Amino acid sequence: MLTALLAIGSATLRLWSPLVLAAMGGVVSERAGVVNIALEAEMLAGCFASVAAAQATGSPVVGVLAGMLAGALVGLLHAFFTQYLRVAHILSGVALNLALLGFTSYAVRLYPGGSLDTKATVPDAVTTGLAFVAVAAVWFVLNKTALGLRLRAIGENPEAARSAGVNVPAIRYGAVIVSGALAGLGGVALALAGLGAFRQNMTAGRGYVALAAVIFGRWTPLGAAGAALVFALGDALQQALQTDGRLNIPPDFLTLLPYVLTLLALGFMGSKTSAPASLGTDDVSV
Amino acid sequence: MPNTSTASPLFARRRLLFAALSAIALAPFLAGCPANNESEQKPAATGGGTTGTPASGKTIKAGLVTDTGGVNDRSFNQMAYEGLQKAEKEFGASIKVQESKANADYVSNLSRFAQGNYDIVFAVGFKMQDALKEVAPRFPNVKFVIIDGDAPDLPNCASYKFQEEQGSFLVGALAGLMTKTSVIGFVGGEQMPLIQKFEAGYKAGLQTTNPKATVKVGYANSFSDPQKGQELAISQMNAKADIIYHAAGETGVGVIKAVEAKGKGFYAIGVDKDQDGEAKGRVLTSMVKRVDVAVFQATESVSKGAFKPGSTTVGLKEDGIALSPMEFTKQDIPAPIMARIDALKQQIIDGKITPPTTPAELAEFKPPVEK
Repeated sequence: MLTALLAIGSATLRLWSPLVLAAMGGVVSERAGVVNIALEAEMLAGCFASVAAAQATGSPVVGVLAGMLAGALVGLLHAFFTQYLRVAHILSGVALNLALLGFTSYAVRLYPGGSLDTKATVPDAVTTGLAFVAVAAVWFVLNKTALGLRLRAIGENPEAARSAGVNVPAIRYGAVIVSGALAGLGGVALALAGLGAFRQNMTAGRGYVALAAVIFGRWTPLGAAGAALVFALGDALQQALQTDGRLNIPPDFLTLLPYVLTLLALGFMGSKTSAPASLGTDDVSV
Repeated sequence: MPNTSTASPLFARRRLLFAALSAIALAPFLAGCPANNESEQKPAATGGGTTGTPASGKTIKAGLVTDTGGVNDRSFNQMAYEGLQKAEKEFGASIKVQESKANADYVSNLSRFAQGNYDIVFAVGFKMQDALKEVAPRFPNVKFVIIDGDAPDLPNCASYKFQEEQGSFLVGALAGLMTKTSVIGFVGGEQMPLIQKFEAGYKAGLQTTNPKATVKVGYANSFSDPQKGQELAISQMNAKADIIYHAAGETGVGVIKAVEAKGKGFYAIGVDKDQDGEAKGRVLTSMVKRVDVAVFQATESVSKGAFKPGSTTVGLKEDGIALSPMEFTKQDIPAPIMARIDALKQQIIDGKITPPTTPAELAEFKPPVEK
């Protein structure tokens, strides 16, 4: 019994770390007022770049850095599209998701057999540890620093923040780029940690799940981390139930479990929304 | 109030820039359409002119359209191409390959060969079913063969399908003889009839050689999610499974990696292609669909003027299904076990054992009495 619970616990943490890292990215970007549906693209970029770099150099550390850098670059594009070109945030995000899916699928086919693998992996414990650090860091910066206060102010009312002397574009650019780096690290946790393989479309929608966790967690770091944990626990549980097999529930139903748990959690938490007021709008100061 | 209107001419110009950037980014995808694919026929150049003497006067022209996996996918497409190369070598067929960059290319790629008066055109993979339905009626003089999918009901169309349950039966039987814990695992992509065929055959094989053993079953609900495959495999190994067979496409990569991480004493079983090399020594064997055999057979039938429309099913008997050569694990498998597997294979070929293809057939299945 104890070993079974430990097994579910460690599976939960492994499934949680990619999700929560991307969700932290979502919190940082959205609290600054930029909708980041491009988390999926940033994760996928992180998956590809980390495995490709680790394979090329044989160094897992280089792989981790490359994954974060690739996510940050996609974040920079998202910032450029939404802040400079004034593209609707959702539109830019969807465009980036399609573009990165196409690009990484093409790039992986340049490798023999269309499969990209490396032995230079990072232990799961490292990315899980980084996930805890990321939650703590995002919580601290948002709630305990002047920078966090400015970022939140921009998210609520960019006009007022600007009149108070806050450099709105700089902080929004910064927030979206950091957001990309965090989601890229989520990609590292998915592809490089423990697995060491990139395959076409391997994120399989985790970026969207992370964004849902941000919303369920009411745009707070701890709330989003909790929502991601509920989802990961649901996934680990359904896998354990499938393996156990005694309940004899069709797997199609069992795979719904994480979604059902998340919905239930949302129901118990009530429906008070607390989205940043300026979310998705343009800042007119540029 | 934040201003979200589009009135400013400055922003209008910036939007134009976004449109231009999007157009540039999308250009490679749009260009995947018919016009530029001529340059993609490199593989055909390798040995095109150096064919042997045709068997019966006329050289037959055979074209192969790959799905989006491309000709170097180390799987179906590549095996299909190897089948054509064999036809080129053995009876001088003139062969050409067309890679599909996107699902939208299938119709134009199939049509191109048909318009070029090819004798036989191969469509690799069930994804091309609809394209074939559209193209085949327009070219009644061209023979079309779809591999691993359904062909339209026309006199110029044929399909080759594989009896996956036979190979799955053999790997299940092998797993039953090799397991130390009497627990083995199965990871499927999605619970659908095709994958249940693998599961039913595998379980029947286990029942035949090790009736007391149990199977842990997990479905990932995705064919492209290695993390799910990895976690299901870890969960099954925690429940004492020491051999895990996957029928889950790229999700199965996670199964192989999980077994590799556990190390000695644990084995994965590969599927579709020979996956033994993906974790040397840890992949016990692979259940291989011999696409190359099917392609060669069909080409040969056309060259002999004996093309057979309709559905052809190939299994162990036709060499369309086979176990991998077990290059890295041969020394781990005792000779009596290998002999038993060979005997079971012979019984399937002789029709003495009919492995089940559905859960219902599995429930009816009675393990054969062996001497």
